[in-house]
Amino acid sequence: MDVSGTTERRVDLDILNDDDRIYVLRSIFEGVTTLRLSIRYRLNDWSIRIHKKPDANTALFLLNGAVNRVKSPGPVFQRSTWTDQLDGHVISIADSTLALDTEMSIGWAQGHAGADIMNQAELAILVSESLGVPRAEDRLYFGSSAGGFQALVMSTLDRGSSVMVNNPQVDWTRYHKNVVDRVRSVCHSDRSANALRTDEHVVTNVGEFMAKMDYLPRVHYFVNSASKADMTIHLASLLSSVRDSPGLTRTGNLRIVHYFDKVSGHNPLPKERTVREINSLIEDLNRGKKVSVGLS
Amino acid sequence: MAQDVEDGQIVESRFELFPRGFIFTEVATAPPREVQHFIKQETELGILWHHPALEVALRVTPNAVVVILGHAAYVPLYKDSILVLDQIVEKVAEFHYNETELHDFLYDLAGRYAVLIITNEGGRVYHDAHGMRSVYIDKINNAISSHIGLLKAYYSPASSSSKLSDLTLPYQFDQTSFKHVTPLVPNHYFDLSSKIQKRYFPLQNNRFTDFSYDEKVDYFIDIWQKQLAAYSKKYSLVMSLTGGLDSRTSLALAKPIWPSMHTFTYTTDPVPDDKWSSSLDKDRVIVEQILDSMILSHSMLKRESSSEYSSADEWVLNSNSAGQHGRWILDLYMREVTPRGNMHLRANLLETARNYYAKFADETAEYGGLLRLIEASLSGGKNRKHYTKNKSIIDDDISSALTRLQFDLVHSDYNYLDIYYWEIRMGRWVSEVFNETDVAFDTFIPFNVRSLIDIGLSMNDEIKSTNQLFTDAINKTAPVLNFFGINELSNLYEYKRELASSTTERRNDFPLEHAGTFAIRGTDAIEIDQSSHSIQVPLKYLTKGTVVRKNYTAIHDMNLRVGIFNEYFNTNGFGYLKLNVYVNGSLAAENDISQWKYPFGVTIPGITMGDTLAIEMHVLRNCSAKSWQTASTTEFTFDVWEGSVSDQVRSDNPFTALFRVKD
Repeated sequence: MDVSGTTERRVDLDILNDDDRIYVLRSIFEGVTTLRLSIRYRLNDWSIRIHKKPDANTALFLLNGAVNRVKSPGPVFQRSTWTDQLDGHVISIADSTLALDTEMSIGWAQGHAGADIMNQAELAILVSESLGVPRAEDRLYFGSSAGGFQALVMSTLDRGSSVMVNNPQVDWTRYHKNVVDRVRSVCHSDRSANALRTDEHVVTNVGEFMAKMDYLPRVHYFVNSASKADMTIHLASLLSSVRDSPGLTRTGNLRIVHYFDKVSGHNPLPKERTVREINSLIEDLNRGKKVSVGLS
Repeated sequence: MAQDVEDGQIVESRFELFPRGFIFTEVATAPPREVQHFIKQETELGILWHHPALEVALRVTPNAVVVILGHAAYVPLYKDSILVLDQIVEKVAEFHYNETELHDFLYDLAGRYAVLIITNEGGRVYHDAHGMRSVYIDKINNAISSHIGLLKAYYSPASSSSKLSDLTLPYQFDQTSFKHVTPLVPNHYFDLSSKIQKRYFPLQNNRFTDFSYDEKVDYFIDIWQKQLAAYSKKYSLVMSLTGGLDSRTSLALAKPIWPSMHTFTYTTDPVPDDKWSSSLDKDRVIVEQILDSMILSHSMLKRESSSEYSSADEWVLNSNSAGQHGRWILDLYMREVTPRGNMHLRANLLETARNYYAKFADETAEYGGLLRLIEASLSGGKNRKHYTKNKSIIDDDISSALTRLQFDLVHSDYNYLDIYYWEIRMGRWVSEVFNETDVAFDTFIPFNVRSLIDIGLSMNDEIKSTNQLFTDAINKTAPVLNFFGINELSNLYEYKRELASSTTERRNDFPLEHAGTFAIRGTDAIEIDQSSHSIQVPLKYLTKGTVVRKNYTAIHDMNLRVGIFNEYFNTNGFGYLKLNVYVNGSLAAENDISQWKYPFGVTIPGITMGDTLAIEMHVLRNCSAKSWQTASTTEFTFDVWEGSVSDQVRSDNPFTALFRVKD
């Protein structure tokens, strides 16, 4: 246990079969409230932080946006200081991509040739099940900016779950060029953005990924109308994918919440509002109510 | 898939509910099950629910929420085009403080869209030039929607007691079946604070009045093709081909995109004496002539291949559109056309610039003859009974509607008949056709921008009535398309060849034998010398009670059409001269010559050889002025009618009284 009361543990899941993985994780989680866990999974090292709540039936996953590497060179768990105020179990996942390069501040979980985001989604479900939240309907993914991209992909893979995003990148290759170039270079052997967009094994555009999966998760999309790129590139791209994909147009799962804040621009909503919105969605999950626009 | 409950069982429809629909509500209202597939967009000033396939650009500004719903292209004459919806909504957000700039921008904004500008004080709702994107406003619940069925599903509004709401759509003006639900009428915006709609066009002169004819045609082509170029990049365009001029014009102007465009024609097997099937079959023949001369991707959709609809299908289609407009075709559209394209390029609206109602024009009358047109139209057809029974109430309601819709503000460069055709005839009806076909594809009509409509309306009456703008546009873009007949099987060569055959030859086909003209006073009958094809009451016979009669005998069996050409027209001249047609002594048609100044016909079915026909001009009052002799002058044509007939005498003059002459 460290000075803050957080337990630190390491586990190698690659040497265990599925049943044993859950068994081992459950025993690690037992009796602790907050836990930092280093996990070896799918030949990669992941850092997660878990804040268990008594009698909780839901799991909230927090994904990272841009990270200040000078201030925090190691794994970062954004918004981990909020977890007391967030309802249900809270699991923060540090983007393992950043471990590949000390200069990198954003990774979109691209890691090793784009595979990390898929493995990260698998790992999240495994952790959730180990925490006693086996149903996708009881899981909520949250992220802003690059964390929003990850949250959207993970929820798409976790059928039945919900996702809340704030000014996410729907297509990470259309973010600032220097940042995109760094990720292309470190994670994708410098392959061009066009090559990545057409590679079916790489998720660059989460709207297109949803269309390919023929599935739209329950999305709560918060966007600042004063942030031009977030409106005209990313939200427009998602709406375009939904519009053009018959499988996505019949679900009633997309809720978009617009706000206007000229000062904050692409930056996320303040803590107070974010916590309120997340807890409201967790409350809906607890009520067993479909967190959907159509039925809300 | 939409669902309906039938005998306790949930039945799925093949059609979607409210495709491309939307509803904006001021307060969060729990949505009915019908819209659970909609996307929800929340703002501090209200909530927008919309069908996922609807294109939406929404901006929140410090003082307003601005939304464009649908597709749009900004295509000004002298400035750069803006073709991206996100950029267009930015412009509207920028201009919404300045009414003049906003209205100027909307003048050049083509497409099918609604514009919502929501503010703390209320805001405004606009739509495209012809209201192709239908918009309905529930004034009690402060809701704005694309479909009247959506408002019904949300709020179950009370039924309307207005007599107008029982008329067919083109006569409902600003009324609907529901008491507090009003349709947004083209050229108006709805003011959300005062809850009334206000006219914003055409309040000034037509911008194209002073352009030369050639300039107008060139700009017409340019603005049209600018849109096509943009839309063909964004959508897969499909286009319906018929034998008519609208489709021909649209095809010619689409020449640059022929290789990428799919075309289709709906048709059916012809049934003898059935006008509709004959007309569709004629379309097929003409289209096949065209296809034989050019390479176009094309499908022929036969009604016989259309499948039946389930009760769930019917329920969905009833919800999607106010009225039925050709549902059988939807199944064929979805099977044959939807896989090839997502945007239907149509040409319907060209008729706004066709001057269809010219014959009612009367500069001395209130609203330029519009009231006479409406009266004549309501006196026949589906509305006749309801109108006859409630005439005074309906006339008053129409007068009030014209006042509410500020027809008095229409600029003198425009005539009321054209504006009525544009705003009410097309605005109320055509948008509901698109609501019906939205299950298969979206709709795009390049003519639906005020600059092009203005060009059309700026033409003189002769150009409008002869469609010269459109045939010249064809001539400048794909002249070969003027070679094929317009709703005629003969092509230009065959037509010219037929024209060369002499009038004399046609006279030889005269189906009647002229048996003299007589002036009759009481029991005296004096034969007077007049041509077999005309009648005139000489001055000396213009005394009350005189009848001038022409006698004819049929020389073979036929359905006969009598063409009647009398130029006298004066509403104050009623009760002076009456023209009657008799068959075997029975009155077939009766007509006061003062009420109608245009040529018309009387078609008499079932004439057999030896039947007698009499045409009589009755002098009802003493008419001493020589001008009455001129007024009585009437020319006739007599043709064997080969079109479809009913078993009754018919006329295209709404003021002619008709009588049954044979059982």
